Amino acid sequence: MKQNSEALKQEPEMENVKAEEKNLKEAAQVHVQKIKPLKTTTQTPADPGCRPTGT
Amino acid sequence: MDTVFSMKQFDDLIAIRSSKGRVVGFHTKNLEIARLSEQAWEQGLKLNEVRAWNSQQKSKELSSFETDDNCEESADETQKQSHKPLNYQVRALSINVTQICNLHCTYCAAGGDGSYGDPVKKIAVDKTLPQIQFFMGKLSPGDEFRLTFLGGEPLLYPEAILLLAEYAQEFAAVRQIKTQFVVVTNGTQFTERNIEILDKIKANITISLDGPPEVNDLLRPNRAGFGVTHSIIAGLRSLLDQKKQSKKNIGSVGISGVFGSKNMNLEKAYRFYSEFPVQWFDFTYDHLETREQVNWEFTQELLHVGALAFAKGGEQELRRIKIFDQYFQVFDSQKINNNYCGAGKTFLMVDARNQIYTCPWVVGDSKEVVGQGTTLFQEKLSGYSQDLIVQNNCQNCWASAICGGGCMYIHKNKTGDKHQVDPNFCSRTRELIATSLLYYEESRGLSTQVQEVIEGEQILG
Repeated sequence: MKQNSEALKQEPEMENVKAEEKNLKEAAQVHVQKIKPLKTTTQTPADPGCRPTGT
Repeated sequence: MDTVFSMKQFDDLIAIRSSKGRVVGFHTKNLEIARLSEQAWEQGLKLNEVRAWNSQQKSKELSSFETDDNCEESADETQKQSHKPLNYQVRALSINVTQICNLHCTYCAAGGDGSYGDPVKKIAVDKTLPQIQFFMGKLSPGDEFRLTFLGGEPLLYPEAILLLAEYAQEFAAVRQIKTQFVVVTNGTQFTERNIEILDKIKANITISLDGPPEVNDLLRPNRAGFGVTHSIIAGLRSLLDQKKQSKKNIGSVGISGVFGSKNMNLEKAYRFYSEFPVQWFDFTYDHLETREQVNWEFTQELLHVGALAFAKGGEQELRRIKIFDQYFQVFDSQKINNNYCGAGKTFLMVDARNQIYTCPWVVGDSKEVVGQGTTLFQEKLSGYSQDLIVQNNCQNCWASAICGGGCMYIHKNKTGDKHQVDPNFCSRTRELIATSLLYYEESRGLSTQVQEVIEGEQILG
């Protein structure tokens, strides 16, 4: 019984922590919204296409 | 047109505020990009949520040109170990199959006539094949190798292009290497026979063209001084028609122009280029121009053209302009670019006498020869082994991970030292990267989401 009442007491605390975490996460998302990059397989070319006869 | 209005930096973060009030953040270490709130901007990026992002420094795979096991190092580790020469392999080779040209461009940096001071009509194919074998032989299955044919005008000696490309293809098939061929041409030689050769090797084609006939004829006349732009247009249309009808296996086709004090109308060139169904356009800045004012004008023109492209077709049209596409690729890869180019590391240049250089711009300068045939002068090449962002002291520049340290030739032309950066190059590059970051954020649809959040806040508040 004693254990049960402690567990019942802890549940709202856990919920509070979770809610706080959620709030923080949401706040962070408002201030810093990261852009998900698209997957790319393209590598930076070894030569940038220089052409002395054309430049 | 939304432009860069002001910028702030706090440790590893850069924030760019646009003229319309958008704030885009860029993490200079892990290359993440984010939309920032107005509050974050007002507090000088010192808001707790922004601080948390600032302190993140995830290790990122390096993008540059390493082919050894160093690929997995973080940028910081690389910088610490930068005194160690890295073990590079050549993945791209440019070859002057001829050093003569039928045009006489006013600004030609190859001796004024495409010859580099040494008008060799035809490269010795029998001496070039072992060079291709030498470099390709060092690659592993699955690696990529790019062969670019330059000149002079390379299509004046198309037989060499075909022989060298076919040899590379055969060698690649045995070794399971992926090959790519590029032909850089003035566009005057699109005969049926030459188009057949380009088709056979599935060539990617770069056509040098500075704008409509009234511009290009003045800057790129033939040897007799007459304009030839109309015949270039006819040849290009024929090439593109055949490509469109799927008759041909030709790769990408792009147009590249040179701009500077004698040709500053990029918008005119852009509108002209847009008449052709090519994949990309490149607006190259005159490499020999050193004046700050001209640099500034060019930058504004290029930004203007970028704005026109973005208004016309969003990200897709913007990325037809090579420089914007290049930056978007790095943003998406989130990999640090340690080297602006692979000169002397993963890229080498072979002239029509089979001498080896690190860059197409230094052909003809005997001091810059780093090899002959299949012999490489290791002592000379060792000077190129370090990453450019370290060698050029770019570590403190916020844009260095995207830029890669800049062009050694341009730096030397301005400062006399290839590792002493040209401030004009740097200011131009930073402005283009900052603007590209704004476009990146705008084109990925985040603005709409943010607008919803702001409106939501207003309702709640």
